[in-house]
Formats: sequence, C-alpha cells, structure tokens
Amino acid sequence: MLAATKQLDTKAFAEFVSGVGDSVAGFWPEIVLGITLCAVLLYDLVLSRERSKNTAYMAFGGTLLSLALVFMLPSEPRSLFSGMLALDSFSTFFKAVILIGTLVTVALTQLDKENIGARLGEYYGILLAAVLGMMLMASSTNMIMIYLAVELASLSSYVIVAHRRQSRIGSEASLKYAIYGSVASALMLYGISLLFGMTGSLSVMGLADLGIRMATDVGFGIAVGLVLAGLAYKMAAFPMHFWVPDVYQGAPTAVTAFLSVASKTAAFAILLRFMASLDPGSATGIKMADGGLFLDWTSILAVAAAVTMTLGNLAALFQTNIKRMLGYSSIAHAGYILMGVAALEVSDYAGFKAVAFYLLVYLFTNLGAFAVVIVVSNQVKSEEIEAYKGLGTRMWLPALLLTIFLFSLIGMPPTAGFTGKFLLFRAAIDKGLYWLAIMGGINTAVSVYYYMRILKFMYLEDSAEKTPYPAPCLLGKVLTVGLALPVLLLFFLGAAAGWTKNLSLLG
Amino acid sequence: MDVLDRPEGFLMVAAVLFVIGVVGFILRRNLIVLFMCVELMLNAVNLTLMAVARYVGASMEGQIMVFLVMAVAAAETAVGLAVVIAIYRKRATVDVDDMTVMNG
Repeated sequence: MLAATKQLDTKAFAEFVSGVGDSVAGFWPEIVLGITLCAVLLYDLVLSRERSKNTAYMAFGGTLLSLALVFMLPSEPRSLFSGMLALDSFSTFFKAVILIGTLVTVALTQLDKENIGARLGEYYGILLAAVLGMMLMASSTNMIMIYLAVELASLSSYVIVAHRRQSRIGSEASLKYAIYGSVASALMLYGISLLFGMTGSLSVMGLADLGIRMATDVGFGIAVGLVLAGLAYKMAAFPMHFWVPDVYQGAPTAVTAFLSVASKTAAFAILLRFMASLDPGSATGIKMADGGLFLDWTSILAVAAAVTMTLGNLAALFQTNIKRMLGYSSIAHAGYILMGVAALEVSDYAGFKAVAFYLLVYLFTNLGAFAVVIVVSNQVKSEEIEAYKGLGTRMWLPALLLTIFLFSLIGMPPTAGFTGKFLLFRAAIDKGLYWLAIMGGINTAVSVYYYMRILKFMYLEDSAEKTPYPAPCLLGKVLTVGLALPVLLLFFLGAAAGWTKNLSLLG
Repeated sequence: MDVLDRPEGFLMVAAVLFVIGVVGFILRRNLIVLFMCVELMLNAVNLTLMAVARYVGASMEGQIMVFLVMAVAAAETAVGLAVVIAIYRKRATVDVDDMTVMNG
C-alpha cells in the first residue's frame, strides 16, 4: 500500500518536473530580465559605483533582449507553471508594451541624470524589479500570483520614487505612495481571501461559474469590489486615485513617466483578465434577493469611469506644476480607459481591444510628453507651467513636439489619441452606454482647456528673455522625435488597430 | 467544540479585526500606528485564509498563501519604515498632518 502511494507520488513529481521544464520555454523574457536585474545589482555593488553609465547599458540591453524574446514566444495559448501564469497573445501584447515603456524609461533616466543623482546601479536594479512584477501582472491567472506580482511592482515603485533621498518632496511622495498602497493591497488581499472561501480555489479561471452561481450574493459583490479597489489603486482610478498628484510631482520625472504608463498598463491587464473571467456578458453583479436593486458590473465600472474622468479633469484645470497637471490628466485617462472595460465584451470584445490599443497609444503619448518636460527642465530649470512662456520661439523643436503629444492626449486628429479615443467611445456606444459616451465627450471638451493653456503659454505669450535656448542634446532629440513618430503613424496607419484585433485570452 | 467545527466564527473575528484596522487607519495620525493598522488588516486576511483552507479540503493553496502574505508584509513594512526614518531625520515628526510639503 505504502509502496503504491510512493510510486504514484514519484510519477506525479516527474510530471510536475517536466511541466516546469515545458513552462520555462514560455518564460524566457522574465528569466532574462531577472538575470539582468541581478547582474546590474552585482555590477554596481562589486565592481564600480562610478561607472554608472555601464549599468544603464546593461539595463537597456537586458530589456531589449527580453523584448526580442517576447516577440519570439510561441503563439498558441497555454498555461504555465501549473496554472500560475498564462501564455497568450493578450499577455504577450501587454508585456511588449511594458518593455517598450522600460526601454524609453532607461533613456529618459540618462536624460534626467543630473536630477536623479548618483547610485544609478541601484536605481536600474529596482526599476527592473518593478518591470518584472508588471510583466508577471500581465500574465497571472492565479490570485497568489496576482498578489505577488502586484507587490513586487509596488514595493519596487515605492523605493524608486524615493530615490532622491535628499529631496523633501521625494520622500514625502514615497511615504504617501507606500502607506496608501499597503492599505490598497490589504483590501485586495481580503477580497482574494473571501473569493477563496467561496470557490475553494485561487485560480482566476474558477471565477467564471462562481460569477453566475453567486450573482445574487452580496458577499460575492463585496469580495469582487475589494479586489477591484486594490487594482484601482494601481490604475489611478476613483476611488483610489488620491495618491497620484503628489507621487507624480515628487518622483524623479523619468520615474513619473514610467509609473504613468507601465504601472497603469499592468493594472489594466489584470483588470481585463479578471473581468473577462467573471463573464460580464452574463449580467452578473450584485442583485438583492427581492430583485429591487440591480447593480451589474457594467454599471459599476461605468460609474467609476465617469467619476474618475470628471475628477481628474476638473482638478487638472487648476494646476500650476506641469507634472502635477499630467498626473491629474493620467487620472482622467484611467477614466476613459475604464469606459472600454465597462463595455468589455461588446461586439466580439471590441471594448477589450480598444483598451489594449489605447494603452499602446497612451504609452507613446505620455512618455513623449514627459520626455519634453525633462528636456525643457534641463534648460529652464523649472517644472512650472509659467516657465513655458515663449518657448515656441526659444525652443522650437520641443515646443512643436509637445504640441503633438498634447493633441494626442486631447484626442485630436491627426494623432493616434484620436483613433484610440474613437475606439473606446464606439465600444461604449455599442454597449448602449450613451450617457457614458456623452460624459466622455464633455470631459474631453473640458480637458481641451488645460492642455491648450500650455500651448497658449508657449506660442502666444512672450517671456522677458527672447534669446533661444541651446538645442537639446542628441539623446533628447532622438527620444522626443522617436516618440512623436508612432503617435502620428498609429493614426495614419489605420491597420495598426489590427495589432490588437487578434488578441485573445487563455480561458 | 461545535464552534471550532465551522468557519463562521473565525470569519467573523477576521472581519472585526479587518474593520478595526481600517477604522484605525482612518482615525490615527501617527505613521507607525498606521503601519500597525495595516498589519492588523493583513492578519485578518491570514486568519480568513487559514479558516477557509481548513474547510475547503485537500488543497494547500490557502496555507501557502499565508506564508507568502507574511513574507511580503515584512518587506512592505521594511520599505515603509525606511521611508519614515528618512522623513523623521529631516523633519523630526511622524505625524501624518505634517506631511504637507505638496498640497493635495
């Protein structure tokens, strides 16, 4: 009897080992990133603290290799590591978006070097740890994995925000980020533990039946609501958006740029996977037993989207610091993207694909805007919007490129922001959320004011000084122009939306 | 003994602990106490996971998750307290109401 059990165990163990071996084939991008992370930290610790430029090359090279491996991943969807991670076109797309964002962030850091200061080896090590967490976020299908990935990304982000230790606002920003972040993760974790109690499993796939079976259960609603609240923190969506302006202002600009795109992208990836497995098409949600109150997830997400974009846009109107203003604008954009999540499954998952496309567009647009902020503050030594007066003549190239990025943030043709917003609005309208599309339209109109105010300062107002600033350095030129090109190209190449057309989820 | 055979009691205690943590976090002003409130919330989660894991059968997922939560919570507190120390050195205060260099 004992021998039989033992034999069975050996067989199961052998299967487990070969499963791990198979899984590794789909896990190379993360492995390469992990090795690069260790190499950067060791190099910095053992070999040199002075040759910090080498760690930048190492981080850049490792990320580039990881990105190349992402494109070479096998295309058929499958599950890795006994259902912990999914390898599907959806996770591959989001990993690529996050890694492109990382490449740009490494370059932005070099551009912003004098502001970020010494200890660049530590900086890149922690940055890559955050990226690793975000890549795992994009592919987790188990709630243990979701929690660990979110925490890896969060803890690294807290540290990297405080990288300028001598800066008063830097450590205050990190403190606010860390303390509210730990509450957000505790909320999410409590939601996960309640869901575990209801399904007896921590797999996200297991939620599908539960969503239908427990549709009327208030406890189920609370559990899912808690998980969504935890994710909302990373997406910068209402009601967990309050940390954004302080952290965006206090962090080094390159870190702000990184958080505004990569962290948001990874959180939306989890949200999409989570909501898709709840199957919103079957109208699950909180229903009271007497049928009086019916709150489906679509309406909850739609209300969150409307409130998020309105709050972000109204607060952005009154900002004087450009990083703070872009922070509020990032909250508003989380609202627009949530519109697509609310209309997730409409007409063959059009909402889902619109969200993916918008995140790609937002990546280039927002990184570009922050790149210009760095280029300008290197010369002007200020991040106040007032300092942009007369920039149109004094720094013509960055001013022109900033115009393109701001147009894309507004959603004006001929920029990709227009295409992205068009897809999101169309998904909401197809879903029948007319009121939400109208709210989105009004909000876009409001946002024109504060984006255009910068243009007004740059082109219509004169500063006392007229002499042009010296041209930005080569890296600055290459980066800003290189980010502006996709913003324009993604509009003109209508087929670009085809990239997100074939995305599918494992499950 | 009847109480120990059913998860409800544990879940109630956990829920109460969690709410105490949330309320404490909202009401208290000292940063160290805020981190203690977060720990309370995480312990409520651990209690829920353990109670549930005992009743859902053979799966070890719940127990494993508890270990991971404890490890990550320690890391989280370490990062948080490091930032608190950095701030205390500069300003000699750990009161939340003094954290207003940037106005919200």
